[in-house]
Amino acid sequence: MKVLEIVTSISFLFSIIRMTTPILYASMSYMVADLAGTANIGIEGMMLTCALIGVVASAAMGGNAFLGLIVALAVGALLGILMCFIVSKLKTDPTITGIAYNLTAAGGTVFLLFLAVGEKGISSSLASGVLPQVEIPLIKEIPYIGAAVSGHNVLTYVAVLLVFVLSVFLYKTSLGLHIRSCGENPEALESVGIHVLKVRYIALALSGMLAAMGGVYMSMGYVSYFVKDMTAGRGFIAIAAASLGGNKPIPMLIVCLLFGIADAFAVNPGTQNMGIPTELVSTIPYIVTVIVLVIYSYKKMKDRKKAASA
Amino acid sequence: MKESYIMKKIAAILLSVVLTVSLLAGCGKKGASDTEGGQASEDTGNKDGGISVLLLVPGTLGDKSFFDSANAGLGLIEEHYGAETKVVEMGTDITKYSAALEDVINEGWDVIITGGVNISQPLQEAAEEYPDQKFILYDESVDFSDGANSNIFCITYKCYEGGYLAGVLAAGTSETNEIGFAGGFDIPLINDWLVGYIEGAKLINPDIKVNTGYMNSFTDAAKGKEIGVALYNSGADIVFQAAGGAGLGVLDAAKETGNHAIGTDSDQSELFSSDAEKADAIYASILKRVDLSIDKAIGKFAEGSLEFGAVEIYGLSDGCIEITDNEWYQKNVPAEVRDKITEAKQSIIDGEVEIKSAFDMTDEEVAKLRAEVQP
Repeated sequence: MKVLEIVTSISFLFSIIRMTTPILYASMSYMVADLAGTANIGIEGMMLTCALIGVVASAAMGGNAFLGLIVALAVGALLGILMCFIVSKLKTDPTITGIAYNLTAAGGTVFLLFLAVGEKGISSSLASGVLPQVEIPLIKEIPYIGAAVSGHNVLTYVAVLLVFVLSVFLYKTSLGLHIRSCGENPEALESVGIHVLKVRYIALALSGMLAAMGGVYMSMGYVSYFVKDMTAGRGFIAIAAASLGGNKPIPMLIVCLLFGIADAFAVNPGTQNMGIPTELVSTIPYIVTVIVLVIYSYKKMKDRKKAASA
Repeated sequence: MKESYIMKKIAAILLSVVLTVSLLAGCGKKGASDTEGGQASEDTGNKDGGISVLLLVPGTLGDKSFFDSANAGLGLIEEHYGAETKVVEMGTDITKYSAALEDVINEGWDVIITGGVNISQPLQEAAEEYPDQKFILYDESVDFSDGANSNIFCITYKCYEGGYLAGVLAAGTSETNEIGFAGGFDIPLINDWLVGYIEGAKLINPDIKVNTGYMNSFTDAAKGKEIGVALYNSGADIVFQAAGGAGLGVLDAAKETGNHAIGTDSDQSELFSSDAEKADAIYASILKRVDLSIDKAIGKFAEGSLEFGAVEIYGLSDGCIEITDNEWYQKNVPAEVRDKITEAKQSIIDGEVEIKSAFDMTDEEVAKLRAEVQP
């Protein structure tokens, strides 16, 4: 009974949305890159780097959070373009490139932080800005739902908006079609006179910017400072979420919410104090991943069998 | 064909440079030049017969916690005993610790100081291999039975005493009669704070409710904020956090919900002094004074009375556990509560109260204690 009380509480719903946001950004980042034919596993590193860049840039510009976000977006785009250059032009393995990004970011952010403030752990001495929380006028009035849905960080609403924008962009516009063809059949794209590399550059710049927004959300929304390793594996969970969602925006949003629910369930004093060991509760997100994966591959197997028998 | 081969080579070289740089960034030896530089100017005449001490950091400095505190300890022993000192940061890659240990042992230092649970195993192996080298290990103890590890001196801390003071402070200032504890992991090292916290809170208010939550992380500040928000939302108005970097999120939650928090590891009001509202939300911080404990141990070593092959537990009476007494504490904590804390401090130092340590309790006992005070 107590569980029901916890999971239906407004603060629990609120916390689900808060925890889903960074995973959602990272998943969109992976989706765009993967559709264009580059499995970008360097998202974790991109997020971490941009989380720091946003804080430093915002502090440098008198605590203006939006300017910090813009600088972080620019750096994110550059990181994406650089990755495209390394992978497509210099023909390296995308996985190894991604690992290099992540390792460089883990050490490099600490190094940059040290250069900026002389600290190696936290940026709290910088007066950086925080992106505002937004009350939604009409929805706010709805009882129960309103309190859980309104009052989130502006980036949370942008994320949800972007899910729909991306599903139109990728499936209804010609550039979106080009991006998808880039991954599925680049030769065909080339044969109709489209510059494949150019499309790939655009896709990875986009992927970098989405990762940047996830990073900025962590350091200038969720909390108000940069702490080393603060992305804590969200860039990797996102890869799973994007893959489970079949690289389609709406299913991906649902998978991300599922991860958010599992996370919110694990990181809650109420559920932790029900007598179940906390270690066990904290494995819930991963158990959910396995279960969803099993269902997903079972469905795929059935589809294949159907196709074979038809 | 040729061109793409060259391109591949360039890419391979670029990537390996990037990898090397990232590894180097993790294990620079920044502190070394600092301390040496500072010391050369002041105690050149003091060197004869002085002791030499090396601090081996299993991680990097700048953690605003016990590594930095240990580094500050080196400053103290330079000043007090004219010791020659050096710091080596090993980075976070545990697999390199054994090799790094071997390197510094061969440099011939009188004492090598290191700390934490991660270095414990490599240290014990090295101690066996080099029985003449003396080691000090802080914040962790090893097995001394059958004369094992006879060249290691261990320092641990009475965290429960710090937790006790936090409990007195929390219960004294709480208006809802419900307080919270946000820990990193459900492990004795963290629960040692908790058992003291509960005890201290009960002293002020026997009916106090204590809600607990764990982030299962020491770095994920976002999860810290979630735990914090949940604890405040469920009715607690003060939360004591003991969760390293993850715990900083609790302080955000305190500011956002208009409640208060108690910090650990470093003076966290000072840490957030650039954000007045957040600094005000932090009543005080409980500190483990690693620096003072190292100073004490080296002092004994200098006079030849330090007993290796043993553990010493330092607490309030040694000054190694401390509650910050700064402008925020004076401004935000009511005088009567401050008096109660001073009283509680004195009663611990005089040995009038007996507090249990989580290290002496089984997991079941800790769980039972936690359940008893659940709201």
